[in-house]
Order: sequence, then C-alpha cells, then structure tokens
Amino acid sequence: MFKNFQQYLLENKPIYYQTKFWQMMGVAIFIWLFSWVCGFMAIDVVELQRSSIRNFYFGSFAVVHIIIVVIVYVIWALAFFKTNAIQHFYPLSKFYHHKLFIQIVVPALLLVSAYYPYTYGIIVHTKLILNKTELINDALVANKAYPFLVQSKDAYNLEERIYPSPFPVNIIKKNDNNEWMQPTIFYHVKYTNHVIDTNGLAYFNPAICNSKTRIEGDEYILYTSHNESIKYDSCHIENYTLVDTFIIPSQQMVKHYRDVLNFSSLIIQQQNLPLDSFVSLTDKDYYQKYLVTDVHQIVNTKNAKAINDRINAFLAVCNKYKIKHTIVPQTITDYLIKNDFKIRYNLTTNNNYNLIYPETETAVADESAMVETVREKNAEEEKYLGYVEFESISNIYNNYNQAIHYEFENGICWVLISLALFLATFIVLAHSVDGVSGLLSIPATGIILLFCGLIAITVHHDESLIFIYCLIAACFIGFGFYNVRPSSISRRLTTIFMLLGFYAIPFFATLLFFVIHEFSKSRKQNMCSGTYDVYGYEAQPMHIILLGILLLFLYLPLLKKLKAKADE
Amino acid sequence: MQNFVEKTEEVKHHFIKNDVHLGFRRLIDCALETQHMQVFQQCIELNEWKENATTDANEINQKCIQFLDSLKKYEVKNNASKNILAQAQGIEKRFNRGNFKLGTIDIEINFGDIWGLVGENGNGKTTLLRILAKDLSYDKGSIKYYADINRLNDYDLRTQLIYIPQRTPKWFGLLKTNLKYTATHYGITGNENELWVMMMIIRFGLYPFRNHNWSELSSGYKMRFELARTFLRKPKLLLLDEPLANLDVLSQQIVLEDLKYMAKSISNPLGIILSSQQLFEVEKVSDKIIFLKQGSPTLLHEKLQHDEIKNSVMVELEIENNRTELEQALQPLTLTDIKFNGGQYIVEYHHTEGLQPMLELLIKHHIRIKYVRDISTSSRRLFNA
Repeated sequence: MFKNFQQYLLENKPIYYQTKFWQMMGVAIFIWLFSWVCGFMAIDVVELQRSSIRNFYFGSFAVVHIIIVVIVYVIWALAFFKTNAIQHFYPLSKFYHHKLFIQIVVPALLLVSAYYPYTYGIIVHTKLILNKTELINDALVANKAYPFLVQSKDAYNLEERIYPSPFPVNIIKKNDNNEWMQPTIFYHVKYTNHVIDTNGLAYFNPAICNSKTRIEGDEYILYTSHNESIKYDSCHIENYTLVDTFIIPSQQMVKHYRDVLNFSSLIIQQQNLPLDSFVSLTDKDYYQKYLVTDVHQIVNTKNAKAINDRINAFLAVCNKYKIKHTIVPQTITDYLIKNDFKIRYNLTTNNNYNLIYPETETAVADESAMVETVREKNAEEEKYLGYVEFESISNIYNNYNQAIHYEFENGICWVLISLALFLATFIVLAHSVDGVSGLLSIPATGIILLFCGLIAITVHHDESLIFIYCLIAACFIGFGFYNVRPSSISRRLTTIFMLLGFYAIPFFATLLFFVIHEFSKSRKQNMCSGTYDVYGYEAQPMHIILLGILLLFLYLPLLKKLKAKADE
Repeated sequence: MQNFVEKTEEVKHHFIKNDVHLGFRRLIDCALETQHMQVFQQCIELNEWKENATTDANEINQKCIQFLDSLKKYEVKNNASKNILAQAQGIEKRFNRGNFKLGTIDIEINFGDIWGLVGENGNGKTTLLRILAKDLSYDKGSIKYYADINRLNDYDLRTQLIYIPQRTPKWFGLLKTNLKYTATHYGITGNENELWVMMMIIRFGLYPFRNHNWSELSSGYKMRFELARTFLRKPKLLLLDEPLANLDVLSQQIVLEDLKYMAKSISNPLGIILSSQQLFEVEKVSDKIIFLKQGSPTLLHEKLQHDEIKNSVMVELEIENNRTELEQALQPLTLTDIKFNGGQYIVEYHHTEGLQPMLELLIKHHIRIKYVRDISTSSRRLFNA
C-alpha cells in the first residue's frame, strides 16, 4: 500500500513525491505522539517537586528531540536531494517554489515543536496524579503545622518561626509625634500625564492635617492633596483636590497587627491553592480565617498533643507526596515547650530612632548582620530538629496550578516558527542554487554586513537605519547586476548577491515594520509642552513573521530566473 | 517526407529480412508515432512476450509484422517539415583567460536536421553547444528560436533545449523511478506515465536494467538512460556533447541510428547537434557538418562547393609498402599532395572519377593495402594530416 502511494505521488504529484510531505507529516505526528507519551511518562509526584512543568522539556528530552530531528532530516535530505527538477531544467508548475516551501515548512514546524505535546503530556498526567480536593485539604494541614516547624533544610526567615515576632511584616511607623502610623497610599508614583502634588513633603507631616477623626480606637487623619492633570488633546490643565488618610492605630490595634502577623508566611500561599472559594481571599484573610485562632490557642495553652498531631498530619502529607524529611514530631514539641514558645533572640539595634522597624541604612545593615548571626547560631543548635523540603511542597502546588491554568507560550511559539521558516528557506535555497555559491554567500554576507556596520559607525547617524540602508543598497546592486547586465556577471557572483537578498529578508521585514510604524505616527501639538507623537500601529511578532514570509514569497520566483541565467 | 504507412512498411521489411533487433527498435518508433496509449500497452506486452519467448525467430517476426499492420489504422499527424527551429547569427565568444575566440558562427537548424560538430580537442565544440543551449553567454550576435518556443522565458526555453554533457551527472535512485519523475514533470501523469516510461525503456534497450541504479550501469547504458530521459522530455533541440565517447563500436552505431530515426520522427521531429570525434560515424547520420578549428567554423557542405576541392580526390591509405613504392605506383596520377603521419598516408590528386583510378594503380603495382578510405567529402580532409 505504501509503495502504491509512493507510486501515485511519483506519477501524479512530483512535488509531494520529492518533499515526502505526507511521509514527513506521518513522522511529525508520530513524534508528537511519542513526545506526548514521553511527557506523560516522565512525570510522577517526585518529579513534580523538582521543577516547573514548563521547564521539564529542557532537560534530557530536548537532547533526545534534537537527535531525533537531526536523524529524521538527514534521512529525509538523502531522499529529497535524490531528485531535483530545477537542476535538470524540468518544467516547473506555477508557484513551484512556494509549494515546495510550504510542503517543507509545515512538517518542519511540527517536527521542531515537540515541546508542546511533551508539556501537554505532563499536564495531563499532573492532573491525573494530583487531586484538587486533596490538595486543598493537604494545604490546610501543611499550613496549620507550619508555624510550629521551626526548621528548614537551609536558611529560613526569622519572622516565620519566632513568637512573637520582633519584626512585624507590615510597616507600622511612628511619626514625629511618636504616634503609630500606617500609610494607606503611596505618593511617589508619577505618571506621564498625572502630576501628584504632595505639598512638597517627602512624607506626611501631621502639622498640615486638616482634620482628625477616631473610629473604633483608631485615629484617622484626613488631609488634602492637590493633583494636576494635563489633557493633551485640549491642552487643558485640570486641578483637583483629593482627600487622603493616614491611620493612627490604637495600641490595641498595634498589638493585633503584631499578633496576627507573627506567623505571616504561609507554606502554601493562597494564590497557589486551587480552591475557587478562596479566590476572593487575600493571604492575610486566609491566614486569619483558617489558621491564626488555632495557633494562638495552642500557644496559649501549650498544647503539646495538638502540636504533635499537627506535625504528624503534616508528615503524613509529606509521605503521601514522597517529600523527604527527617522530622521527629516529639523532638520539635519538646523544644517548643521547653523554650515556652519564646524562640526569639534578643536583637539590639544601634539606631536612635526608637522605632520598632529600623529605617536608616545603618540600622538595616545592623539588623541584617544580627539576623545572619542568629541564623547561623540557630542552624547549628537546632540541627537535631530535622528538616523537611518545603520547596518541594510549593513546587507541587505551583505545578498543579500551571497544569489547570496552562497558558500557551507565545514566546517559544515564535522561536519555533522562525526556526521552521529558516530551515525550510535554507533547504529551498540549497535545492535551487549550486552548493559552492551557497557556501560562499555566507562569508560574503558576513563581510558586507560588517562593512555596513562600519559605515554606520563612521557616519555616526542613526546606526540601525544606516545599517539597513547599506544592506538594501548592497542587495539592489546585486539585483542590478542580475537584471541590467545579465551576461557580464557570472552566475556564481549573481547567486551570492541573490542569497544576500535572502539573508537581508529579516532586515527588510524589520525595516518595513519601521516604515509602517512611522507612517502611522501623527504629531500632535500641545501648547503646554510642545508636541508629542501618537502611533496608530504597534508591531507584533506575528506581523513581522508574516511580512518576512510575504517578502520571501516575492523573492522565491527569482530562483528560477537565476537558474536559467547563462554562465559567463 | 515519409508518411506513417511507408514507415511501417519499411520496418516490416526489416523483419522479413530477419533484422529483428533493428526492426524491433523501429517498431517501437512506429508505436511512439501513434502516441496512442492502447498501442503502447500492446507494444509493452509484445516486448514482454518477446523477452520471455522460447519460440523461434519466425514467430517473433510474424507477431511483430502483425503488430505493425495493426498500427496502420491509426492516424499519425505529420508534423515533419523543414521549418527553421533555431538561427544563430554572428555568434562570437571570447574568454577572458587565454586567447581563445569562438566564431563567427552562423547556423540555421531546421526541424528534423542533424548537425555534426567536429574538430580537434579544445577548438570550441562544447562552447558552441553550451551557447546554443543558453547555458553559456556570448559576446556578439544573436540566437533566435522559432516555432512555439520563441515566446518562452529563459527557464522554460531551457526545458525545450536539452543539452547532454560528455560526462553526464550522477543520478540517484532507480533508473525507472528517475524516468517516471521526469515524465511527471513534463505533464505525463497517471497510467500514461507508466506506459511512456516503459516505451522509452524498451526503445533504448534498458528493459533488463530498469530497476538498476547509476552505479550498476556501464557508461554506454548511462548514455542510453540520458537519451531515454531526453526523449521523454520531447525536446525541440537536442545538443549532445561527445555522446559516443564511452560507447563501443556497436553501441555507437545503434545510438546514432536511434538519433537519426528520432530526429526524423513524423509526429515529433526535432533538431539535433552532436559533437564527436568519430567522424565517419557522425557523417553517416548528419545532414550537415561544422568543422571547428581554433574556434573558427567551416561548414563542410559549403567548403565542398569550392572548385578546387570539388574536383580534388583525397584518400586515406595504410599500406605495407614504403613511400617510394607508393609514389612510383601513383606516378600516373597528378598528385597534389601526399602526407604521411606515421601510420597512414593522405593522398590528394585531381580526377573526376574519384578513387577508382588510384585503386587500379595500386593493384597493378602490387601494393599491399591494409586500409583505404575516400575522404574527399569527409570532414577528415579538414584535419591536419
């Protein structure tokens, strides 16, 4: 049957016969299936802990894929170059080179893009081996145990393990009047057409407060800020005043913040949880709603059993996902009880600001040094508490989230399309011109590009544009040689110039994009700030690739003309 | 011009005289003239039967004659004419390196013409062929192509001007596959493709080698493959550079005969220019001969019209006697010139009766003749000694 099919193509579809289009499509589809299966097989719950599912391909499979593609193309090339209609001056059908190009580029694109089926194989298997409901429950178990796990494999943050924390995560400042302050907005964001006037102050000064109010013990300071907006179309400046607030929290509120935020870091962040009902919750809300009350109760009652249970439950989750650990729950519980949960270290700062959170550079440096000292000391003293690979848990959740919310990777797609286009163009050229000219054109193009670059540097104008102008000039000289004096220039030299034209196609496409971009520009007059430009068109990678293909298609018929040119 | 019925009768005569090999090749020519697929199919079946036949030659002859008779009912369009195919005027080509200059060349080739191109090595034969094939540019002059190919662009024109170099390029895959691929490109598709290809394979004696590849063929069969491929392309002008160079004596004769019959095809005549060192073989099939010496052409048929050559007899002679004995024997003739190149004598004299009087004198004087040829009307006389 295969022989009959080959025979049919040979007798009826010579281009299909030569390009082995259908055979290559079959091979490409097989490689896609193979990649999908490999992706599916490559993943288990242990592998999911190691890397992102988007990066698995770039491990050993990329090498396998490259070797397969090279082998396929070597075999294919041996068959493809056996027959060559243009070399023997056989009549060519209309759009011969275009058909040839398309029949090469389509399988090439499929062959080089095994990344996608491989990754989709991983995604499908990830969805199969991980269960959404279980993951949510396991996250809760892990997060509930996490405040009591005072160790990690490597370094860890003091804020995550010290009760109560010396450094509340949210910045609560004191102002000049020694009052607690929490700013609600930032003032130093600047927009091109939006000027924010903060009355010349780098930070809030209560002296300019217009009014104060107290709500549930917290004092809210209201004040005005002036904003200026310039409308370029009407050249009109609009002034308006906003009422902003500073909050002066009560002592009770300050205590609340400190308590709530003591165990602020979660092992599994809310945004990584695949639970729809949690979507509306912030990390802080999630933490307060599900964790904080229990944690404080356990600490206050020194409930060793509860801690043991939580850590055991957590270890069960670890075992379920084959996460490595050396934790013995009782050891940790004993350590916490023995230290009365005061696993904090006295840090003394050298700053004179009497601030809870150090603000000056000196104080920050001082703090860092102290933290590092404490960290090293703890790591040594608390070795026996064991470790658990916390990152593995995070990776599982990250990967599951990526699997269920997979977004097509455009960047890789453009790279693969460009690669397939380049491969197909190279094959069509190699098929249509003689090998020596083809090889000579590469260094010749390099020299001309270098020459163009040197001119661009010498002229010192807009370098990129001059570079392109020179390249175009060189290409036009080549076309000129070809068309104006066909008998005076050898086929080899003409071929080299023609190939230079091919190599310049990406530059032409880019240049054309610049031209279109420039044409879409309209300059608008603004009485306040002179002129400004508005662009109606912004280039997309797809546009440049389509433009490149269009230029290539215009260029391809010249190959036939070139072949027919008589030798000198 | 011969019509199709006359042609079949001529071929029948070959079978009657038991010239089966020649007859069968020409039988295929007749079948090809019909361009009828049913005829092709029958012809292929006939060939297969003949290849496997264990019967005597008479039965084969009878079958072939019957087949030829059956062809007479087909109407074959007579496209044979003496219309101009290509005209080269004032062609000159000078190479930058060296002092070689080709030209000035003026030739006019008609459909059905065979031109022989002779000359010593390095005198511009290949250059001229390549110029005519549009493979090489020229400095002066013009080449016009007529018929339906004059409007074609350069590439499409070259699909009709087939140039076969002396060293044919290597091809890959099976012989038959390559021929099929060629035929498909020339619009012969489907079942017709198979039939046309098989006809050409049989016509050029490639049937036993149809599933061989390039490295399995001898030089002679490689040339036959090129010819089979060429005729599938239905060329208007065929330019052959030393096609006989690698062929044995028998193959040379067969190829030349094939070319002659193909060029004079009733339905699809073409022009052929071939260069060769086999002067006498080429002269036998050529309508006209161009002799190139250091790039300058001499048209043999024009040269022979000159009076001093018209009545001059030139003989190539190899004898066992010495020169003195030869000169004594030929004394009664008015010798214009006698040259010895170490192996053969070239004797030139004026006489209206050609070789006859010289042979009589040689026999009379007991000269032991090993080889003699009248080269009065051959391009051989244009070569030095």
